[in-house]
Amino acid sequence: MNRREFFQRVAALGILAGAGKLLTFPPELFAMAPAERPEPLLAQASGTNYAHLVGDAVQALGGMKKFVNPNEVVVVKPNMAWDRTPELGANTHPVVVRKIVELCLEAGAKRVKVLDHTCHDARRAYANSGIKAAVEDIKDPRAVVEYVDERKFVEMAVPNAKSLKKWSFYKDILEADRFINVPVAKHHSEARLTMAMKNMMGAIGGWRGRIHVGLHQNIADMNLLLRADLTVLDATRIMTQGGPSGGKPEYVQVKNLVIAGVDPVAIDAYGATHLFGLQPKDIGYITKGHELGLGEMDINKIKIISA
Amino acid sequence: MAERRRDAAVFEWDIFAVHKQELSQSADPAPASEPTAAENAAALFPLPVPWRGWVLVRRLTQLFFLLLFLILFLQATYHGEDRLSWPVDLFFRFDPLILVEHGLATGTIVPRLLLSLLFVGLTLVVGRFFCGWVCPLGTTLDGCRRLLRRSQPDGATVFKLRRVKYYLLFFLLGAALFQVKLAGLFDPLSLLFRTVATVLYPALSYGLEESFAKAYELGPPLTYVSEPVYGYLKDTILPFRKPVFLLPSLTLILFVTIIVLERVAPRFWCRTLCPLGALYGLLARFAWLRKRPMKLCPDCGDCQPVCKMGAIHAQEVPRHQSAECILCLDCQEHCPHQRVAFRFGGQDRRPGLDLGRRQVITAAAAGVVAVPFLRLGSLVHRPDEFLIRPPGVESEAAFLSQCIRCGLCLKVCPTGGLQPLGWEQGLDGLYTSRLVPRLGYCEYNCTLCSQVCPTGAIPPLQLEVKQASPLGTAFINRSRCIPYTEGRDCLVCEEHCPTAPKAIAYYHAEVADLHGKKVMVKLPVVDPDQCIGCGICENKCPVGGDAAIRVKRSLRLER
Repeated sequence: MNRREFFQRVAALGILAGAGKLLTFPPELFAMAPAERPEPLLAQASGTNYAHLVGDAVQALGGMKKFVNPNEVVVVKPNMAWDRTPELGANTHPVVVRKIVELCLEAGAKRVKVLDHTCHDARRAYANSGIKAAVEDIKDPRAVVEYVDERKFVEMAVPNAKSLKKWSFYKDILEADRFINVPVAKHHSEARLTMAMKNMMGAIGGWRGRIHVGLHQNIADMNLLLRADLTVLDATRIMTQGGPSGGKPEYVQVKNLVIAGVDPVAIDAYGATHLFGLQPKDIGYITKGHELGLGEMDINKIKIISA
Repeated sequence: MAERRRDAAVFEWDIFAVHKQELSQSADPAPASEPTAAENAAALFPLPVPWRGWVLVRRLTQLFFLLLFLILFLQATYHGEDRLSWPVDLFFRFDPLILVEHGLATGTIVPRLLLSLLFVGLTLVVGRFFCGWVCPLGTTLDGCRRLLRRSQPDGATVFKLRRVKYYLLFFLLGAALFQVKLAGLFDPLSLLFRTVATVLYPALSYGLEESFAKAYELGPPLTYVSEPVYGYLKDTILPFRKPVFLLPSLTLILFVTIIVLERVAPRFWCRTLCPLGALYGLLARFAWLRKRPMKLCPDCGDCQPVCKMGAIHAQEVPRHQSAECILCLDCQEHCPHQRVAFRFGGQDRRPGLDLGRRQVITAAAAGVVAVPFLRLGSLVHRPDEFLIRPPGVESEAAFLSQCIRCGLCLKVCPTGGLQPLGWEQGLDGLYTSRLVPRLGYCEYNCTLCSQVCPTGAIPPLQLEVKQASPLGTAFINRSRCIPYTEGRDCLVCEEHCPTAPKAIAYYHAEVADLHGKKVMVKLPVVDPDQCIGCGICENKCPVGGDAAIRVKRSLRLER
């Protein structure tokens, strides 16, 4: 091949690739926000077998088949932001996450991705939270634990947002057929508590420290775009002080509870009162989320089923 | 070429004299007048012809060690286990220069470096094989020389400059006696590892990551090919996070200079500068294995230009110098008469080094005398408020007397917080490691840097000890901190603080916001007794530029 031929071939390949690009569909981003207000119905299961708790709570809501259809791509977003072991309560319990993934697989999901945009080094947090090993232990090729890929953060406008009008969000979560939020209930110094809505911090990119100025409105705003089809709150053990990172077993209280629902505001409101003895109005993002129409914060209007 | 050299050789009285002597010693002397090449070979060297495959074996060995160097380099990273399973500092254990210098500087022997005695022993037997067969920098130079297409013969200055490496060696050892430890700047293994870690590998990963990111942006069908390739590379050679390091230009310029010097003469670095080569050369002078014939043959001399080390050269007699020979065996391969062979023993006088006793003493004394001058440069800056050393380092002076600037800790640090120090502390601090919290913090549960440090400059630490060893102390700059200045809550520093209880607490107070209105906010404060100076607060602080919370050297670190 001489130089001329080489350039000719490169040009031909380039044209071919360009044509191929035009013919294939551009990946469509669709906002997952359901238009209607979610039903403030929560299922609570209590016991010491955490896998059973998850199964019971989801079953009480109608079973995972109600949330995940066969051949769908599901993103499961636990809180595994910290390089902390399970007993310190800084991350979602690995048994809880594993059970959620198993339920999705049983419901026929094509692919279940488990991921979080971590605070500590992701490799350390994924490993020491125990979640990576727990999910990989299922040994199903459809279930994967993925590290966040920086290329997949896309800038999105947030309709109706009051403060966070534009930010970068994780594409895989936006594009997934189903999105399941699996937070842990913790004390948080600035936000006071972190449960369902605050867990969305791990689904966004950018310089996240900046979000902490005006945090409550920002949390509510990001939940306009990031709407989970199902939220399963891990309250098997809760961190009552030193949050969000904790670090001492003394900070952790065993509650042996799992709370599931589709209304993130209702879960946070119920969690605040039932787990931590606070009022929903004490927590800024609960009030602001309610104002944005994300869910119900009035504890009297929230219906609890015991599973 | 050969013709001219032969003519020249005739005028040097020594050559024929020596050869005649050898001829008379052999049992059946060949006719001295007009011998043919074949007769010469048979008569003078009645030894079996050496195996021709040795050069290939040497090249494969070189490639093997270069690959091993790179594999160990890639393994120096967090793999999901708190302890590294690979001996990533292996090459530094091959290095007697580090052992000797560390011994002189600290009066102690690092047990893991004693492996280098194996290489010392082997060098006494076979010669300076390390440079020709093992050294990854030597292999890199051999590889790059082919690209540089050098053709002219070596100039005379190259031979004069050969002694510089010995001067440098004794200078460095002289300075080491007084804890100024500069050998790491010139040690070929440190130099190469540091360069690969802080420039070449970051450049490679940046280039690849950006290319694949571009392909990803363009989308299918390109990604059908690019994404599997990217996934494979990510699993094998690409780093988990793109590394960036300070001083890239200086590091690159130094490295490129060494490469480009190949145009002046092959293995210019190894011949004239490398202190490790000098040390091995001193030992190799007594090597048992020697080249035959030891002197240049009067009728040929073809191996002289072939030798990339210029080892068959001396001012008075063209003898083979085992101190310079790196056993590349090119001469054996190229000998048109198949006379060259390497054999053990031999009574013949060994050529002297390019070095006299007086020069040794002068060089070592210069190293000693240089100490106060070098120290002035660093002392004037001490204590630098923000110079944070790696975990477990208790005193600046002890650290400087032990760090060999190899860059292993920089490579292994999972957050990229460990960075090479520039000129801030003068020459004796150059390329020693420091923590730059804005670039990366010290991960609370990680002890990797203390596991890999070849000399223990970062001492081996149990996790509990490391978590209790302060690197410095965080201070809040209240004229930059958001709650103090803007009257808005932030607490990102407090949130990330890894100690339990947290070293950053907060209290509720009324401050004026940006409009002068009084508002209640949570104001962070640092408990200096609890703070370990890991720097995650400085790293995550949302204030741009210099963070509003910064880790300062604790005064207790000073000596």
